[in-house]
Amino acid sequence: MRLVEVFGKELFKRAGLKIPRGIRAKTPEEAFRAAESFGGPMVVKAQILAPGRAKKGGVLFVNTPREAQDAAGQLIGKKFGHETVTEVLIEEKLKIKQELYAAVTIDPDKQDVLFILSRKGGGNIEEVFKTSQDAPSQSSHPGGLGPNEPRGGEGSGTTAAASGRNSAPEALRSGVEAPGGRDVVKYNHSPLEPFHAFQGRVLAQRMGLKGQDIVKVSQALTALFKAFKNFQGRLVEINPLVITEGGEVVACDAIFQIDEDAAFRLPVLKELDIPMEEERPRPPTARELAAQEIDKKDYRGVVHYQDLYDDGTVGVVSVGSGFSLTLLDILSAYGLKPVDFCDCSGSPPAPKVYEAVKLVMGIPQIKGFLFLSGVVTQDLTVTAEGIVKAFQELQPKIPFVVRLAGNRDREALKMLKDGGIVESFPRESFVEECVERLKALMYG
Amino acid sequence: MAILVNENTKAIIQGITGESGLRFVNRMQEYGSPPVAGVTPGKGGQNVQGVPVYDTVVELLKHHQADWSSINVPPAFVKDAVYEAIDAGIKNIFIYAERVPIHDAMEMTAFAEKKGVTIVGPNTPGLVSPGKFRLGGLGGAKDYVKEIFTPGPVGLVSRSGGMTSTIAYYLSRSGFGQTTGFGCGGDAIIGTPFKKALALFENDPETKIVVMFGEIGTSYEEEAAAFIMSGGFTKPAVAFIAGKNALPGFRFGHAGALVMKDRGTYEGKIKALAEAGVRIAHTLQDIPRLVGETFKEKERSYLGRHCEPRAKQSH
Repeated sequence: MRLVEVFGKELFKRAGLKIPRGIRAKTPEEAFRAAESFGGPMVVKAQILAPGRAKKGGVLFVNTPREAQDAAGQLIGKKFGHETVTEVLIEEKLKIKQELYAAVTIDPDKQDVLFILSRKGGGNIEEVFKTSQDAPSQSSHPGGLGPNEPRGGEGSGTTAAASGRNSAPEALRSGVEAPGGRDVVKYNHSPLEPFHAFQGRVLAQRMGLKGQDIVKVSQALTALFKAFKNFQGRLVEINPLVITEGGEVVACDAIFQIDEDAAFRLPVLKELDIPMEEERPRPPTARELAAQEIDKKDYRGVVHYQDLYDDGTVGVVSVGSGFSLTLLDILSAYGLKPVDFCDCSGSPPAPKVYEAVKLVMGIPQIKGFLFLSGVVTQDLTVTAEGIVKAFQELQPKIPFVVRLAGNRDREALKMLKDGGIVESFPRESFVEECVERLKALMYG
Repeated sequence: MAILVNENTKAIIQGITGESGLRFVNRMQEYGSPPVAGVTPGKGGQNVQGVPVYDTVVELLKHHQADWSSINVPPAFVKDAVYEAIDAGIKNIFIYAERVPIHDAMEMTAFAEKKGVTIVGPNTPGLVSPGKFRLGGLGGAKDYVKEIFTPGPVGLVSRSGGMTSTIAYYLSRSGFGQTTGFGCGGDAIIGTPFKKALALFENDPETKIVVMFGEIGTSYEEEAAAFIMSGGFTKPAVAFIAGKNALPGFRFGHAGALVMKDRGTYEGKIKALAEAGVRIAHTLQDIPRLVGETFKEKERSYLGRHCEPRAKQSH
């Protein structure tokens, strides 16, 4: 779950990072009043999640309270993709000596913590990653401070810097291997170890930083790691992490992605009233909202519905997420396009199944309907009851194909047949046979 | 032989009095591989269908021997239970729960690795070595599981729990039983991804071929392909990768996106596995068909060249 900048920064602050002085505003008038308290150049920033906000005009630079009010007027209510700006953040503009980039995330390959740092932070970071030989995308195994060995038994577990007391000198040695520093520095850190200030200094030095900058950046990295750890981040990212002319290191932006599975241990979410919304590439459709309602009516089982292709011809309900994903690929292999993805699993009661079938059958453009399962453990007579009820009520004119396999599937099959669903397939059938049959019924 | 669990396995259940714990007791008892004991803090001295319950794993181990613990506690308590098991000296741990916090998963797997402990999961329904041992409820009620999982030469490992049974059933129906079939877990961080599974199957003489069910995201399939290329796994393998037609979601941020860039894609996985000589199934029907073809080829090469048919597949 991504947090908007103001919340990300609040968490950063609590972990000990310096952030610019800033005030939130929901109206241009509030923005004016906020700006009056600053004096001097300011930044007005739309509070949205979409990446690349600055390049899309979501960040405006102003000099007076009147300009701040105008900027807020421009931004509030403006749409960026499917997001509408409801709030801006007004911040003092800093005198920048250097812009860095710093991120801490989970490395899914090595199952540990990954630092990604750059001395060339700011708007062109993607270019920096692309051109740098250290670019994360070009390295299958991002380098740590020391040698990266495959994880094995005790001792070779993670990177050298984190795995034992003998490894620090090794890390320092490799830290000076690139004279002048590197544009992109990556470091894998054991999830079992604290992050030491010296490790931050080594990393800062590896970026080519000098003198007090090394000390201040190390403090910032230590705080960033703390934010990542304490607030259960999947990703924390600062771009730019600014070194000011006065030598302070300040987080000027915040990307904070929290692990929603850990929300139960983060009272701060409630305290700050941080909205817990599922991230989506677009706003939910009417059918997706309807499915959420169906799902909420009973805690047993899930109905997870997603609209896929408007120009699809097949309506699909399936059992289990892995199977549902597989079914999409099988349909595609047979040249059929599904309108939806609807996983109806986890032992849902019959009314839930019934409503899911009715929801999908209600999609106007479908020319055929499939309800398929792999081999499942839920009681399929309950599933069949829901399907039959929907079938009898709807009396569908389009092909209606069902396959159920698993617990009590023989009885379920009989229920389907007795209920009038001619195209009901037994456990022994291949999923492909059912798809082929549907295709034949649809197109002859 | 089999991998991970076999006729000598002695398993306990942590969280035995909870909903999933009770179900595991039932499923394992009816399969003839009952848990030897269980733990629920505060309920020591009770029993669940004849299975004794203790307050702590340490106390349990004073009275019973165990080499596996199945963790059936809610996600928030999984890490604590896993550390308890490791601390008490249990060498193999199975984690049923889904929605375990990812920091916990990362810490548990790192700690287990450090201690030489095997973790399977999180987010998996079970392990079956047909005819020998079932840990969990994989395959469902007893009348079904014996038809779904049958003894034979195929090693089966799947990211999806449901697809483990689905594929096992299609294999069994086509006459290809399994040495061991298991869900390795659907989460981003799991204890026994494909590479480790392949290493285990490599050392199991009864496993003649491995079937993998992978999904888009992460790079466990690519890692497995690299492992095969490096000679770590020399038996034939068949893979189905799901998610070719999944719609991409949000891009979360630079680091995450960049780390994942060009990795975790359907095309990338297929290419890596095919280059490593793994046969790619494009439909479920392909899976038993490709397994069958591989066995026929092995037979031919065996008869023709009078040599062990263990050359890597190429096509």
